[in-house]
Amino acid sequence: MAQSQTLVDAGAGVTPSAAPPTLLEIAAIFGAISATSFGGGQKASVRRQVVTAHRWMSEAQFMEGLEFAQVMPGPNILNLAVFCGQRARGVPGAVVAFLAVSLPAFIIVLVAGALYFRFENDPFVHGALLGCAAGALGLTVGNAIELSVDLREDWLNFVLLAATAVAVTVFRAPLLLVLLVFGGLGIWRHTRTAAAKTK
Amino acid sequence: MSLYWHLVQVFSVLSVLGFGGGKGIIPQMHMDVVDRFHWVTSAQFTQFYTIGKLVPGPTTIFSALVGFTAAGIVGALVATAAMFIPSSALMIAMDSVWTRWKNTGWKERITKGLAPVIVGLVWSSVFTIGKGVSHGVAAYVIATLVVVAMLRTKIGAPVLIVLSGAAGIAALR
Repeated sequence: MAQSQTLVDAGAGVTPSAAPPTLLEIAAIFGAISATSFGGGQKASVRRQVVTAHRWMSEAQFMEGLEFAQVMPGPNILNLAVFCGQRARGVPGAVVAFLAVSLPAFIIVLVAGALYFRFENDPFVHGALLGCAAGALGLTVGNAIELSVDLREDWLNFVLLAATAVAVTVFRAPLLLVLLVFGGLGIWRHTRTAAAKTK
Repeated sequence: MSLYWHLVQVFSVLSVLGFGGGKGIIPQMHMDVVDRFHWVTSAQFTQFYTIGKLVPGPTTIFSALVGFTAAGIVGALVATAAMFIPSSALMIAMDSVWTRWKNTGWKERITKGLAPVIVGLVWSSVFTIGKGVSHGVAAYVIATLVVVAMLRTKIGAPVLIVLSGAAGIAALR
């Protein structure tokens, strides 16, 4: 058993199990991942469950789904769950995976919100909330710095970055316009770079 | 009725424009829910975003709290459904298209081409979220310490927020 587990973990070439998972299994797996996913690490948990432990799909199929989830709009974990649910059980599987990820988060955030509305005027809670908000600001700055460092291979990235930030912050440009114009430029540029590489 | 309709409109548009995992939609959401419809204040927006970072699951689940403030529990449900269903429906609808496109290089073009725009939007979110943070030295010190801790250590985001809360009780009460 231990040995076969190692083989399965090695990934490539593993055939998915013959029996598709039940809707209940899909709900249990994604509900558990969603309710315990504190910032990052979810992709690895999903991979462990659907490829290694339960073998709904091969490593290659999972990686294809992960790329798909990242290209499409929406939270990565939700997109990935919908993809896995659909591949496992069709549209009903996708719907169950969707609910398994979003319902626990919805209930937990409402409980947190109820506590917020109940205690926000208490001086201790108020101070804590102001501190948390400052912390969340710090996280956003840290995130922005990390993501900017990832763009350093190409200086033109920083031109698009700055143009976007100024257009939105100073001129309050709508998101749709920014995605169409600057996003379109970025995609066009990469299309040309890709074409140049193939020549 | 028109209130629910406005919630659907605002959040479903944000849903389908949420490229890069939804990191870039914060400035537009603020423009819609604070400046245009006045459902929440800037301070509430920042608090709700903070709660979104604190709870498990996608950060954008804080849409539920915006919906709740605008229109009660039904508003919370409507806003969350509008935030999550359109992007998930696109996943289902595009699955067969993606299978045909996966080796055509579009994945690289879209993610790499959009990346600088998404990061620009995250920088813009810094100003959006900053509007709702209490001004003063203590808050900026906390934010700066969190940036350093995030970049230099492996401490997770929820832990950093809780520690910031403790610092807030001491300094911002």
